[in-house]
Amino acid sequence: MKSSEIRQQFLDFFESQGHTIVASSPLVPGNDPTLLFTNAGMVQFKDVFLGQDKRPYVRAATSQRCVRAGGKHNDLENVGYTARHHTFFEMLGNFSFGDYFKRNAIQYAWEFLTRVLSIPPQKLWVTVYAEDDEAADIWLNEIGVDPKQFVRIATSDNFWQMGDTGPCGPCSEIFYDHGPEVAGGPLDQLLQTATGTLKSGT
Amino acid sequence: MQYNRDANGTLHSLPKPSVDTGMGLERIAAVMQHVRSNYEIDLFQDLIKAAARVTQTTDLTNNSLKVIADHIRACAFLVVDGVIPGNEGRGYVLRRIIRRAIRHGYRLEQKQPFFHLLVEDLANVMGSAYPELVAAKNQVSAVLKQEEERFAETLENGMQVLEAALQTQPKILAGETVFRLYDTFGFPVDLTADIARERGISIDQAGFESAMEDQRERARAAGKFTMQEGIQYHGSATEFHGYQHLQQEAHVLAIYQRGTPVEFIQPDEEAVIVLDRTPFYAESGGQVGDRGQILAGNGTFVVVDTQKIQANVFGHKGLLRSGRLVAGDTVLAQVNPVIRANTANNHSATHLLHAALRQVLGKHVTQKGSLVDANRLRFDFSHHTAVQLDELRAIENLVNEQIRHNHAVETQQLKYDDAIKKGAMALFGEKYGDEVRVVAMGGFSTELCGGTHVSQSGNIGLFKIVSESGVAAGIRRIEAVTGQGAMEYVQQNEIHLFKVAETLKASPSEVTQKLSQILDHVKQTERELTALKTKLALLQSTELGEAQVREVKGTKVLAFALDGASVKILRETLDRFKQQLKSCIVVLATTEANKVTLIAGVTDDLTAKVKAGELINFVAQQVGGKGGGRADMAQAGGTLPEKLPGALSSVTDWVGQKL
Repeated sequence: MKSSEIRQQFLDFFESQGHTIVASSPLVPGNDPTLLFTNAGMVQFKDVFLGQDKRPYVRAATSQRCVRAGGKHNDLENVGYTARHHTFFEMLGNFSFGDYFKRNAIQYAWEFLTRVLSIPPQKLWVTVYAEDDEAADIWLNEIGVDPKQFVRIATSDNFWQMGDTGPCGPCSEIFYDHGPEVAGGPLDQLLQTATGTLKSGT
Repeated sequence: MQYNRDANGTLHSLPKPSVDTGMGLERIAAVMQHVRSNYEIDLFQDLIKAAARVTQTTDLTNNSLKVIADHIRACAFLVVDGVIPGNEGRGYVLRRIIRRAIRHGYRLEQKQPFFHLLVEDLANVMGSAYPELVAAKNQVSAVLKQEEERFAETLENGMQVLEAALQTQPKILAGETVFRLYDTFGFPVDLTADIARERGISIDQAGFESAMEDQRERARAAGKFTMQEGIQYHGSATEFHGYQHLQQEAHVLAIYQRGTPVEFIQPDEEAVIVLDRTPFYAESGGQVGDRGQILAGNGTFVVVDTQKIQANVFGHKGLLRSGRLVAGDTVLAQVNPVIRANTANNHSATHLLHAALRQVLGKHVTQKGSLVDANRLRFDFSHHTAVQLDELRAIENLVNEQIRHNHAVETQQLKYDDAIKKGAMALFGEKYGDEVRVVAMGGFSTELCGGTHVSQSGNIGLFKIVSESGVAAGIRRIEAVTGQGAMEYVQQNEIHLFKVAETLKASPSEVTQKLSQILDHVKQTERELTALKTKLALLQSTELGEAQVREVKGTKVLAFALDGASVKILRETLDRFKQQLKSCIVVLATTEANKVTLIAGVTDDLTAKVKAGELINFVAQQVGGKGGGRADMAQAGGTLPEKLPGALSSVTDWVGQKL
């Protein structure tokens, strides 16, 4: 499937689930002088999350152009020499502003990957924040993820925060297992060669 | 997101939890396309092939192609979103990425500009999802090309310096070298580090920082403004009342001479005065400081400039003309009202110009610099090409139209966020406090500004652009005059026009027509003159030539120089002699600067014995040249005019041997 088709299928899927498709905002953030460049899909919605701005919709989906260079995330020297470092990338994102929460977020993510993109579930690994029993219950008992491919992680990798203060919360991640030909044990594989990540911060 | 973390680190449950998800398109594409590296997905493969094409590279696995394919995406979209390569902030990040891409092209031995050519390929790959890229692609390409050309000037030389340094500094590249590459050759530090790393060499970052600091020190020392230098003021702040008043009673809080506090000053002494309150505007936001006078009971202090010596402390710089001025004096501070009014005209006109530029040229126009004084205004802004004459006219007309609307100029103190919501233009990267001053002119222009303005836009009177030029890549400058200054500018131009008309003996409206008539006439006259000169030269050369004819074994031989003749005349003269003398051998020469032109001709009856080609070669060799040609006609050149007379006189002997 071509990249452009994946982008389109993502937006179409979330539109069919009641999301408003919002255009990518510019790389120069209009509302945040502390940020050098737009580096994630949520940047244009930051004020909405903080309750300082209102939009005519409560669900949105975007394909956001992002740049990570020059600021805190500076990977310039690695670009071109590793498989996954870029100065520019596109972030597909779906957002709920006080509307749906963990259950729908998890269902949408899983449905998009396994049904729309037809990725075999046995290729996918799921992580949640160690204390997040609610998310674990949804994954294991409602979605039916294989417990052997399910990991609780106690580190900040699975606890998302916007800054030192402000909105934060546990997050859940989905990893794609590229296969046994990659060196290292299964867990190493998962963490070090984690790809196809759908990071679902709930 | 489920919680709100407060300053103590305590988590509070959010009443309405939200969701933010993110998935990298490139990663999921790699999964779907069963490839191991993001660079192998369709989108990158297209760009890598394009990068290979423009760098003429055949090995598609070369890492430099990946770098270029990645960087064109970031660079093109950054330009689309209004970032211009520059020396600080976002502009410098963009410059670093572009220069890194160019260096990788150089590594692939592509030394010509290539990077901008990829914009078209990128638009093909990503344009359908991002129409803004397609709309701006020509502009993007122009910006990248300009940066490429700029860096090309120094890249080659910089690489040589770096190569040499890497040979002699096998472990760590000295900070001095890194700084020199940065300062003289425009190599961003990470670019130098990149190249060094490829050889397993690291750079001395601390050494670089200290070389950079030395440079800053030197720049500071050379700075022209010295007013606040050394002034250690610890008193209370200055209250500014200059928005409402042009004169005001105040107290002298401190007097400084060359940075040292003094109790009083005497006539003809220079000083900086600090007052408790003042109507004088201190230079900021591009507007120069006020001038005027400070009157004490028995002294007059002339203020030539006002500058902030601290954030809220104003220094009035000037000279005591008469009497005495003592710390603690009660004084009357008077701003020069004419200079202030002219400055206000220019400042308000700058706001109208800014709004008009955005209306005529587009929303990408943002302020990059501004200078406003009593005589003129200067405004720098982002725009990629020269502003065309018709655009300049449209801008000028729009500004003057707004002046004639005679808008009341309204100023308001607002909360920053409220001001932005009202559509006020804030300068990017400028720091504003919580409370900002908003200057609005009839809905046409709303800006955050602390400057002094006219009360009605009609006061500006007239706005006239006097120049448009480029100051840096992607940054243009407009200079303009207003009010009486604009009137004088127009009148001055009219005087010039009248003078020209008078000289041409035409009315001003007929000047261009008259001038083109005259130019046509001049051209025609020059053509006739050239024809006459040629005729005259021919005539002279024939006369001259007849006197030069020598007989060698019964054959007529001619060899002489025609000063100042063109090659055409040489040839015509040669033909004329051959016709006239029927049987002859001719060598003609002319010199211009340090070049000798020779021509030789032999009539057909003699070519069996004497070949023009051989003859010309014989002569040319003597004047430092070489030549050859046909048997009947040959031409040659030389570089030693001083040897010409001897060479010409040797012709008869040479011919004598052949006959």
